[in-house]
Amino acid sequence: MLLNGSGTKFALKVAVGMFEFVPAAWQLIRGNAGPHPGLGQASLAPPDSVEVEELEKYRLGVVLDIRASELLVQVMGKGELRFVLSTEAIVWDDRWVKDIPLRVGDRVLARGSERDETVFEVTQLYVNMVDVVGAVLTDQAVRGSSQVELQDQRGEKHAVILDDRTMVLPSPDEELPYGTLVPLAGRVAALDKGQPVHVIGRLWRDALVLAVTLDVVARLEND
Amino acid sequence: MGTLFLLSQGYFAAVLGVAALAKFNNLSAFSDALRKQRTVPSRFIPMLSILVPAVEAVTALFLVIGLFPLVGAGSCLFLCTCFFIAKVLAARRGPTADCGCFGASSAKAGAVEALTVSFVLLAVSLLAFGLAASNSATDNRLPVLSPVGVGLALLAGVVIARRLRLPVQSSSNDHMELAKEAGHP
Repeated sequence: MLLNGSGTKFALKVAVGMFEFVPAAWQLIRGNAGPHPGLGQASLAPPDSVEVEELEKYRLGVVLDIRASELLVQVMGKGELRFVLSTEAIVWDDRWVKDIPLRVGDRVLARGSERDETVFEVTQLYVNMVDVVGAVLTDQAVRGSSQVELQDQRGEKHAVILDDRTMVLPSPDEELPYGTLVPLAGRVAALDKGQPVHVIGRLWRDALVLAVTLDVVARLEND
Repeated sequence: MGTLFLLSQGYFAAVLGVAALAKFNNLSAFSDALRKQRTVPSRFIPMLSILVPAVEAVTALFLVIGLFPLVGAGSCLFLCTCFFIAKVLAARRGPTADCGCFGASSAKAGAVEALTVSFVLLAVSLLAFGLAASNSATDNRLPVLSPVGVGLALLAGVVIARRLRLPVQSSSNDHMELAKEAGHP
């Protein structure tokens, strides 16, 4: 035998790779290799049932009343629902913005399950979540507890508050796996004017964004 | 030799035809893959994301029709050479897997396997070009109504029919109403 076990596996993988067009053709026939729904082209294939099931676990609404261990929430398409928060419910993925008190009128995104038509048992809760991509307005080297001004593509300005616990991209010297975010504490993030950044955070006092994560966006005009 | 040539023509017609249809079906996935690979300057990506599937489609058509075997085989060799170079450049930048060859449905192969596949394809296309250049093979043409040709035509029909259908309108106004209720524009 010329090939040992690993060699056979490798040859098999190469042979499979030579016929990669077969599953690709099958996916074209099934219709689930279409465009991304968020990219402006209509996705004509029906969504995968797994994705639908996952979406059904989420409820988005506005807080109408705050009670002990539960919220009364106006949920789109569902009317008023009672969001029951057990002790296991995780708020804001346990990130630093979780302890800010809720207010009536806050937007909440909850993951969980419906006990009945009026009660939703919450396992994860996000309050006033903001997801913004914008260009930095001034050159600055930011540390924890600093403020960054961004302007999004619609021209709207956002004041973003960074904290030691804000998760940022590490410097290339740190040799962490691609996509790893690290706390800002002890680091200096150099931001250039015009640099696009992506911030996920919590809207605070209807004006400031408390950054939970801040990462840079690739500039398409650069190589 | 003639049979070998016909087999290679049929194989490359299927590979390139499916690759072109998959890319046309989801152009953004291919441009995203090119962007992630960082093998070409970003200003060329919009042009390449149209040009590559177009050349693939034309080459597949030539191979299926078998009208100019040398042109089809030459174009196939050119594409395979480009793909191999792109894979080598991409592999140098890191063990990224998604080549975008088949649009959004590209398999996540390891870099070494992907390079080997690309190399084998290059070798086979070189062989096919050599056969096409020889007098013995040019008389053997893939019949238009071969299973590959018919299959590709049907697949193209499925993709085009699906693309022409009107999109289903969703009741996304609920989001806007909720945003207004929450006091956010």
